[in-house]
Amino acid sequence: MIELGDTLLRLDYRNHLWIILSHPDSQGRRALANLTTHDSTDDRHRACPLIIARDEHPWVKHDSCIYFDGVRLDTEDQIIAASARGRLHRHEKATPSLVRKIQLAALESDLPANAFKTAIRAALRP
Amino acid sequence: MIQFVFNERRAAQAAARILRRHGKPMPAAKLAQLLYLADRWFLVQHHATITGDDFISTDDGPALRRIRQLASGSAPAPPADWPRHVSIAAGALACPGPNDDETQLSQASSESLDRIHDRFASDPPEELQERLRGLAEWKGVCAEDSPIDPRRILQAAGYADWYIDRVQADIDAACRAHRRYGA
Repeated sequence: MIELGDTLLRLDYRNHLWIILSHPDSQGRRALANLTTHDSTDDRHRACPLIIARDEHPWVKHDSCIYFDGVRLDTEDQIIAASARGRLHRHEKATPSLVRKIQLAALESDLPANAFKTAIRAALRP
Repeated sequence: MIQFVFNERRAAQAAARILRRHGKPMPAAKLAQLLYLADRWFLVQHHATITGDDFISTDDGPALRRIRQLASGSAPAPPADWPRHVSIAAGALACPGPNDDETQLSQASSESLDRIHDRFASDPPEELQERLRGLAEWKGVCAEDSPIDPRRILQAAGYADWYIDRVQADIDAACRAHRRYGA
C-alpha cells in the first residue's frame, strides 16, 4: 500500500527519489514528484519555487528541487509496474513538513497539469 | 535526436482550448499551425512540449506530425480523445460542445496556447505560412516530409550544445520511464 509521504526509488532511469504527495483520487491515482539536484545554471531549476536542503531527507545529499513539468499522477499498479523488477523500492518516509512544502510549491508552480493540482488540493484539505 | 511521447488527450485539450478562445470555426491547417507554434514556444521556454508530437519539415513549413493528421481527419488509427474535443464541419474545426475538460493542461501550457492564439490566429494563412517557413528549423521544399530534431529549435533560441545535451538526457530518461509506465 502506497501512502502520502512514502518515498520510492528506482522508478526512473536516473534513480531519483520520488515522493507521494496525495491520497488516491476517485480513479486511484496518486500525485508524485521527484527530487533532482538543484543547478542554478539550469533554466528549469530556476523556475522551481522551492529548494530542499540536505537535512530535510536522508536521501538528499545536495540542495535539490523539483521540476514540476515532470510530475506524475498514477495508480498504485502503474507505480509498481514502473518500478525496477516490478516491486517497490522504498526509502525513508518524507516528513509531513517536507510533504507540505512540496505540495504548496506544486500549487504555486504553473507547470503541473490541472489534474495533478486537483489531487494536491484534495490532499491539503483538512 | 530529442523525442517526446505524444499525448493525444493533452493534444486534444490543447486544440479545444485554442478553438474555444477563437470562438468560431477554424480551418484545420491554421489550428495545426498554431499548435506547432505553441509547442515550439513551450519547448524554448520550458524544454518540453505540450502535445509531445514529432516536429517535421513539410513543404508548407514545419509542422506536428500527428496533429496535422488529426486536424485534417487523416490519422491512420482512429483517435480516442480528439473527437471528444474537436469536431469537423464543412472543412473547419470547432468544439463539439461545452466540453471544457482541461485536466491534462497546466497553467503554463494554457498561457502558451492563449498567447499563440492571440498573436497569430488573425494572421492571413499566407502570412502565417511564410512565418513558419522562416523558422530556422524548416528544411525547405523537398520530396518528402522529414523529421526535425527539437535540438535545432533550442540551438536557434541560443542555447549552448552542452546545455541541450543535458536537457536531452533528462527528456530521454523521462520518456523511457513514461513508456515503461504505459500511461
